[in-house]
Formats: sequence, C-alpha cells, structure tokens
Amino acid sequence: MSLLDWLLNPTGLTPHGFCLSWAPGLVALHAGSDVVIGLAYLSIPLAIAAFVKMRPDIKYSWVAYLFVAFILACGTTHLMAILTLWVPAYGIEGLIKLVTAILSIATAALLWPLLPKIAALPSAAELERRVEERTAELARVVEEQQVTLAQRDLLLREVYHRVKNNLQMVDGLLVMQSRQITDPDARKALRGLRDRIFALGLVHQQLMSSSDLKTFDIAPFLSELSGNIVDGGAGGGVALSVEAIPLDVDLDFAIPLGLLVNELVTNSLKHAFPDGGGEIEVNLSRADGGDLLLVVADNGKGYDGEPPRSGGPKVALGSTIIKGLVAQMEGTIMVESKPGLTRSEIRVAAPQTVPATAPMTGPMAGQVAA
Amino acid sequence: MNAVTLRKSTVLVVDDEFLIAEGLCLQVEDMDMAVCGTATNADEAVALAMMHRPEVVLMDMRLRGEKDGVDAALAIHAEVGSKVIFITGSREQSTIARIYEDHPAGVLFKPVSDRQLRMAIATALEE
Repeated sequence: MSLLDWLLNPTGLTPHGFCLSWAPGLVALHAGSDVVIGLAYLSIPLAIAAFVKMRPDIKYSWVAYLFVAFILACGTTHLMAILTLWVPAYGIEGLIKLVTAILSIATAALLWPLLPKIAALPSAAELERRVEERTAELARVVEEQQVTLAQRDLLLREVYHRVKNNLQMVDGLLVMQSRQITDPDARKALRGLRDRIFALGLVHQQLMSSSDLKTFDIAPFLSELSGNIVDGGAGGGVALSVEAIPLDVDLDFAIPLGLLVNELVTNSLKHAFPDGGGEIEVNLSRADGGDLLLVVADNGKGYDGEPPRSGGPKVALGSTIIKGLVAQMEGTIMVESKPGLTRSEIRVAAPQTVPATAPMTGPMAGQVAA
Repeated sequence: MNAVTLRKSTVLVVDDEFLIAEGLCLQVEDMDMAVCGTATNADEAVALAMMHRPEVVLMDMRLRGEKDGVDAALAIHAEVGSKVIFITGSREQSTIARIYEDHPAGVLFKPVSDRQLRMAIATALEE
C-alpha cells in the first residue's frame, strides 16, 4: 500500500455519518454548524486582508496575513468535516489539518515575541497628544521668531531713525557753517552738500516706510528727489517730468542712483537755463537686454566738449561724483550736448534684490516709459 | 500774507538736539521770520508758546523727558492755537498715527530740505 493510497484511497473506511448512526438531527447539527463556521472563517480573513490593504501604514501587517492564512485553513477543515460526514476522505482532511496546524503554530509562536513591540505602538490618543505637543512647540517657535522679527524691525527702524537724525544734524552744521561764510562760491558748495545729504536721507525715509525695511519702489523716490532739487533751485520757470518704471531696490542701489540723479538734475538746473525757463526730464526705463537706463535730459543751451567748469570747484566735484558712482554701479554713461538738448544716459545692470519680478516688469515698463 | 510782512511771523523751535534746533532756527531766520525761542522738552515748549504766542511751532516728535511732541502740541493747540509742524525722524505708521491725534499743520521727515520747510511754513501761515 503506497503512501498515496494510504492518504487518498478511502476504501475500507466509513464516513463520519456512520458514527452518528445517520441520526438526522446529529448529522444536520454537525453539517449546519460546520457550514456556518466554514463560511464565517472565509469571510473573516477576507475582511482582515481588505483592512490591511486599505491601511498600508499599519505596522507588522504580515501578522495580519498570517491570521488570514490560518483562519482560512481552519475554515477549510470545517468544510472538510461536512464532506467527511458522507465521504471518508480522512487522508485529505488530515493533510488540510496539518497545514492548519503548521500555520496556527507559526502564528502562535511568532505572536508572543511580537507582543511587546505591538504593545509599544502608540495609541491614537497618544498620537493625538504628541501632535498637540508638537503643534504647541511649533507655535512657540513661530511666536519666538515673530518676536525676533519684530525686534529686528524695531532695531532697524531705530537705526534708520538715528541715521536720519544724524543727517539732520549734519544739515544743521552746514547751515551754521554757511552763515559764517561770505564767499558766494563756498556758500554754493555748502548748498550742494546739503542737497547730497538730503538725497541720502530720502533713501532712508523710503526704507523706513517700506514693509520689509529693506527694499522700496524707486519711482516715487526719484519723483520726490528730483522735485525737491528743482523746486528748491531756481525760480518757478523750470518744468520737471519724472517717469520711472516700478522697481524694488535696496539701499546699495538707491543711494548711488539717487546721488547720480541729484548731480545730473542739479547740473541741468545750474547750467542749462541762464534765462530761467526750461524743461528737465528724468526717465528710468528698462533696456532690451534687461539693463536699466537712467536718462536725465534738459532742453537748455547745451555746451561744447567738456562740461562747463566755470562754476568753480562745485562742477568739478559733480563730475567726479558722477564718474565714480557710475563706476561703482559697474555702469556706463553717455553724454551728448547741443543747443536745445543735453542728455546723459546711464546704463546699469538691474539690481538683483527681486529677480522674480524682473521679467514681469519688463514689458510693462516699456509701456509706462513710452 | 500782508500781516506777515507787517510784523515778522514768530516761530518756536522744539528739538532736543542742539545742532538740529540751531540749523532750523537759522533756516527760519533766512526765510525772514523771527525765532522766539527753542525748547528741548514738552513742558518748556508749552511755557515758551504761552509766553510768546508764536504763529508756527516746529515740533520734534521725540523729546527729552516723559512727554513727546504730540503731548506738547496738544497743549499748545489748546492754549495758544499756534500752527504746529511736526518734524520727525520716523516715517512709520505708528508715529504718523500718533501725530494725527493732534491737528498738525504739516508733517516733515528728517532730513528736511529747505524747500520742504519753506513750503510747510507757508502753507501753515496761509491756513
């Protein structure tokens, strides 16, 4: 008798129902219960498997699959028990029980060492508590940073305030000094210094009223600066027009540019209009390559060759300042002058403070400047 | 403006920094007006204003002592009715809001140019 026969050949064996003397009540009780248990044991592992599928984040999910396997095996033994009521397939039933036994003992053996690990997994309430703790911690950090930022803002404002106050003191000194001086050229020179100091102060005023205390729009700054020079200079005969693209700039860009505008507009005012009347134009636009173009032009008498030096040291100083600041900004300057048009064009690279807005202001800038 | 030419308008300068106050005084004199005094704190400013009844007060915001320029300006406004032009180093919103608790005839930001000062005083006197 081969092993296969021994397992699969039921010859000579009696079905389980025979042991129950085919008592209908007992057969029905066994068969009915095993049907229900078998179906339930098919359903439960399917539900467990579906659950594990839905929650891939669950740790130790392989344990769940062990449960799935051994419950399925258990279910099958109960279905086999129904079969063996009528068919003595005890060999196959035994084999299925063997598989169930291996799966069950493996699950049982693996479960105990796993127990402390599973027990250590944080509960939902614990997780909730930790989230709250972390949230509170984050809120505290954010609050601290806000306080730090506010302190930084306060400090910056205080510094700008001091700078402006000091510039006002320098202005006071210059006013006092110019009272002591009778030489008209020297007084003019002091006047020029006051204008330059005002240009510096104006930059700090813009910074102080900007929201980030670092950058500000250059357009209103240029208007205020040029307007102050023209209105403070000669009589009311000079008309000024200022057009500038909106452009966020910082201190390092605004100071040399502001001082350049100051020098150029002052030059026009001083030299272009001996008869008093005329027009001065200040224009900041974007060139094709993305560079910035600052143009200061007037429709005055113009000059030939070198800029006039007759005004004494003031003019020479102005030229030095212009040359030096253009070099500092790594830019170039082109000056043309004839009767009716004196035009200085300064080309500098756009500041890098806010590169994100640069492509956006490009086409718009053309329209504004046109 | 005729009254102005008949009698020199008087101006009170309030600033706790000597160099700033002196510079402002000289500029006021250059505009053909008379400085009736300089004060470095709010109480002194009110006392001088009551004594001299100036047409215009140039008022710094930050002053020596507890009270600031707005405290002084409110008192001067109530007692004398002078036009008060604020000259402040701060261009931030809280300071501006504080200034407008008074009825400023003008607000100037340091450093103040000649032209700004002249225009502010002219506007204050015309009102």
